[in-house]
Amino acid sequence: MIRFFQIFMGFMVWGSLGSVFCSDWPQFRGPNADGISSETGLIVGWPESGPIIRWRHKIGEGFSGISVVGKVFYTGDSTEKAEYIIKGDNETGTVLWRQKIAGIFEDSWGNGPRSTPAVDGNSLFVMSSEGLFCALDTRTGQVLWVHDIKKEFGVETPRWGFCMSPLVIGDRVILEIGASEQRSVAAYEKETGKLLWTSGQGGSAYGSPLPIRFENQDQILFLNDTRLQSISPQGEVLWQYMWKENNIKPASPIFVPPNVVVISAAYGVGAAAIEISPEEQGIHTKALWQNNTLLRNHFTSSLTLDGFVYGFDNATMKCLDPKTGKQHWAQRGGLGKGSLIAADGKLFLLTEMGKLKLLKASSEGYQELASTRLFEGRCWTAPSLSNGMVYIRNLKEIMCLDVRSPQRATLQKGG
Amino acid sequence: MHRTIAIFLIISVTSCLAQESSVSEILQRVQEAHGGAAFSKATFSIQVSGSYDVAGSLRSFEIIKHGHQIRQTITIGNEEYSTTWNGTDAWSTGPDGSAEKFDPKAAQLFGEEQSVFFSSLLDTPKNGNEVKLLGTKDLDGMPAIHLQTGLKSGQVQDWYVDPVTYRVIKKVVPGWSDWLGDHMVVYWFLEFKMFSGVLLPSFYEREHNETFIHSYTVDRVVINPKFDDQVFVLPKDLKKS
Repeated sequence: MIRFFQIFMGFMVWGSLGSVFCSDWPQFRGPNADGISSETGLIVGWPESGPIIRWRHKIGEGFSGISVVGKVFYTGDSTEKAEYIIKGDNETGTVLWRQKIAGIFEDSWGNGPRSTPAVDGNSLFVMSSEGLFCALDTRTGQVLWVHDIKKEFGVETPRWGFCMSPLVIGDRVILEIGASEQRSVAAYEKETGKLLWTSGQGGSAYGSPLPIRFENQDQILFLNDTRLQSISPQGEVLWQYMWKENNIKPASPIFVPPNVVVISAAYGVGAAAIEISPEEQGIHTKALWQNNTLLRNHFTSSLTLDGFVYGFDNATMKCLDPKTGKQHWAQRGGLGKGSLIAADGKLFLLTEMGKLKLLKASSEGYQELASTRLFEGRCWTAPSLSNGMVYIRNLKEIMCLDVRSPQRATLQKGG
Repeated sequence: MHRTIAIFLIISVTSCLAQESSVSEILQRVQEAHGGAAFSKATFSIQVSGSYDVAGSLRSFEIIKHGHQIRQTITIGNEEYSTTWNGTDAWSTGPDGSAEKFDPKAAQLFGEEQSVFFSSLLDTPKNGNEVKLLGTKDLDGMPAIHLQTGLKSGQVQDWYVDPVTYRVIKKVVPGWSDWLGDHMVVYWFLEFKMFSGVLLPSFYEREHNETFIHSYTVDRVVINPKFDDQVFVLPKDLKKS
């Protein structure tokens, strides 16, 4: 009875603090495609014995992120001959089904799918490396519909494969195609796969879309080979900012509310902060700053937290003021081109070499709370976080770690 | 704000000190910081080995330097890949024993880029070439003394020295590879350790043209190593590039 009362009071306290225990990670870079989870009650360091690894399994090659919904996860992997989407059980990591989506895409840096599945209800949407855009039934893995983007739009497989991840908004799924003649972006009806509209200009540069809300309007941002463009879910081009012709810009844009977008790419491109403001006819754009050596995101995206941007300038992790470009701190050494996500005032950083680091998100300096090497081999896929568990993978393994604080773990266990 | 002021003051003071100090004085301090006369002797003939990570792929490496000659060997699994510069020619050899020679321009660039750590900075005046002091530079919030050396190829190497410890913390040099062609190579010397009385980088990173990061962890250093002279002799059976 006392135990029940303690647990009940614990939940009351957590509830009153507005704590979020369970949040899905249903698509590339999380619920809002910005690399941030709203969950709280997470650890501030590993236990003495090291991080709690819930399960660890081998996986086929692929750079696909891990989408987590409820008690299951989805990701892409491959064998020597084909690309697959797998569904697994969160508790054990056991594969529940495995569905082939395409033939293998081979690349010296790593084979397999690059796109992260977007999960919505009983459907999952994903792109194969050779341009097959598929919808699968999440219950069975059955392929519901397929579009061959190369045939339908006349585009070629990019040098490193089709990497873009789809975005679900309402009744439609949005995908960057990069085709000519106002067909840079396409929207499909989720249920049927019917093409609803195409819009925008510019070729694909390996990036994925970012949904934002500006002045009470939903917008979707795309950073492509020639521009940053904003398209409404209905297909209207709302505004665009021409920026540095280069066909390698995989990092997602970052929206810093209320009205600043930060974009970045490597290979000499650099970064810029674009201020958007409403005007009589549409939206005005203005560069607040541009710098070709300050922040060069290669294939990992930055994120924004509490008004600051955290990300990688090649292999140096930095914290910047997005409005001025002022650098607050830089940290280099053993991070490689790390991948970042954020939750509960902390940053979870997976280094390129396989260390998982827990950092305090602070503009005061790089503050490492914990670090441990978990993988050997290339780690280019950003972590995912859901229900107090961090999911990480590389080309050979996938792992789930319990990162709940002891208090939260006790409450959830008792509940 | 306080940090900004502090960095400004450090750069200002550093600039004054750098201007007042001549290049030779700075180079003298660099040499002293790394072991004095022992550093020159050590880096004339040295063997450095350890582990090497490129984009998550772990390998082991060994570098043998003797005078102007350098041989770098990377081991991936059981396979060895070597690149050698003997002061005149450069060539690569594979695990099957096959060898391929670089063209003269690529060879020159390879030899200049591959100088172990910063021996070429300290050797430049001895070779009759100029070292210029270009003032100070902010390296991501860290002030550094900026030096520049000229090369036979006509290109330059840029060196950055910590104004407090006089350790070399970064170098930017022209390089060449069959993948990237001519490009810039950036070295960051991040951690240091004493090896036989000489302070050398124990962890450093190398970056080619903003592509992938090569991270080196040095486990072993042998000064005046014994090695087979034949490793610096151009193989007879080789393909020309």
